[in-house]
Amino acid sequence: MATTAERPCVDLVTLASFERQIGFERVADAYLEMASRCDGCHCRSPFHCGTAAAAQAKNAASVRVVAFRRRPSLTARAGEPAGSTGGGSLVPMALERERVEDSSGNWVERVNRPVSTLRPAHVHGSVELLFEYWHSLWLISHGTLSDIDPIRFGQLGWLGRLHLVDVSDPDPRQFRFQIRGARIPAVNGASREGAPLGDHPLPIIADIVTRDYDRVRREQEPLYSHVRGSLAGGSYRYDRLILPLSTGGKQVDRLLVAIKMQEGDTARA
Amino acid sequence: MQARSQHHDRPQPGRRRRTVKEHGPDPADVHVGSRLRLARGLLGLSQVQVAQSLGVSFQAVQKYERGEIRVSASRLLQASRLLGQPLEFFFEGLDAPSPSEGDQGEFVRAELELLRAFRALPDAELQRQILRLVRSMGRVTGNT
Repeated sequence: MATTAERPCVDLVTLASFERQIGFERVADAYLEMASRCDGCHCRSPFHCGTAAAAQAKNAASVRVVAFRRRPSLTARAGEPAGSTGGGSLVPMALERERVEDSSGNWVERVNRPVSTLRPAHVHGSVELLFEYWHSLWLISHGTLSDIDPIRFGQLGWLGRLHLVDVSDPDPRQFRFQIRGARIPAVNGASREGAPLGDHPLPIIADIVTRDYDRVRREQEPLYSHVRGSLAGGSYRYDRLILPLSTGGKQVDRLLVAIKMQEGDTARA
Repeated sequence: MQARSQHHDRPQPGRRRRTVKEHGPDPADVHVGSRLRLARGLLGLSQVQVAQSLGVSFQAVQKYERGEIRVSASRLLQASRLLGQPLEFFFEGLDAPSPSEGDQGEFVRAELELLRAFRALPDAELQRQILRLVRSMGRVTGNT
């Protein structure tokens, strides 16, 4: 069995990180304290250690699970009712394709797709579900960070697959990961939490990431992309959704970056 | 009756009402709110789910958790049953402030005891003498 020091509960640590950024220090400390006692089944994480959570839920009063009413969505096209699946119909797209290569044989190709191509869906872990949650926050408070409920990330299947990026610096090369998705493999296996993105060891990554993040900050619009490429001889492929957030409810100074890896590939944000 | 109500609503000198806007949330409310958030998180329930079960809006749950609005006793009881935590869970780690830290405009326990003892005196003459004694003591120490 892995010891606590070797493998604390990833979900509790991620929840703690979000709670701290949102301003709930005591809640963050409590999660971390539980994570420090994690032995794989008694840490009380609601998402990772299912046995303990199920036992707790059994002791609690019955909770009615609420069906969410779908808001008028950005995904609805003009003249089409929100919530329509539009199965199989052609979606007008303004695809932007960009391929970047370097002299070492590394290459990355991004195909940016309008968020209107995201159809309403209820699939656990889908990009669409995350987008809808973000959209509801955007309508209410311009994506104010303190309004985020990290538990929703867990419910939607996104805990650990999200980066929170500080884009408050005017220089994009100084953007930093405040939270780096624990379930997203990093290049060379190293987490770059807190380090300026411009200092990434692979210049091709630094260039692409900072450009895309800066675009979302400036335009205050989500960016949805299919990304594939080859880095250091390994191929990878993933979907990426970049969502603007703010700390004060006005200026976009944080981004939520969701990475959905394609099966069999490793993502390198 | 109306006059009485107006009297109660009028701000008393030295007893200004604490407001979230001016003074920020009360630390005790912030503490209870964060415990509420933790209890919710331990069950993996969203604010919306808890709000529906408590019969309030999810914005209200957001404000409870930030301490911006105070959770009533009945609502806290409801939440404790819903979240499967005893009532004391929500106050765990909260230190009660000492009288010296309390609001200067509020009665402290000693004042209330003094008033109770004063009222219990058998006759009005004795009450007048005690009052004179307290006033003269105040003049000697320069507090009246």
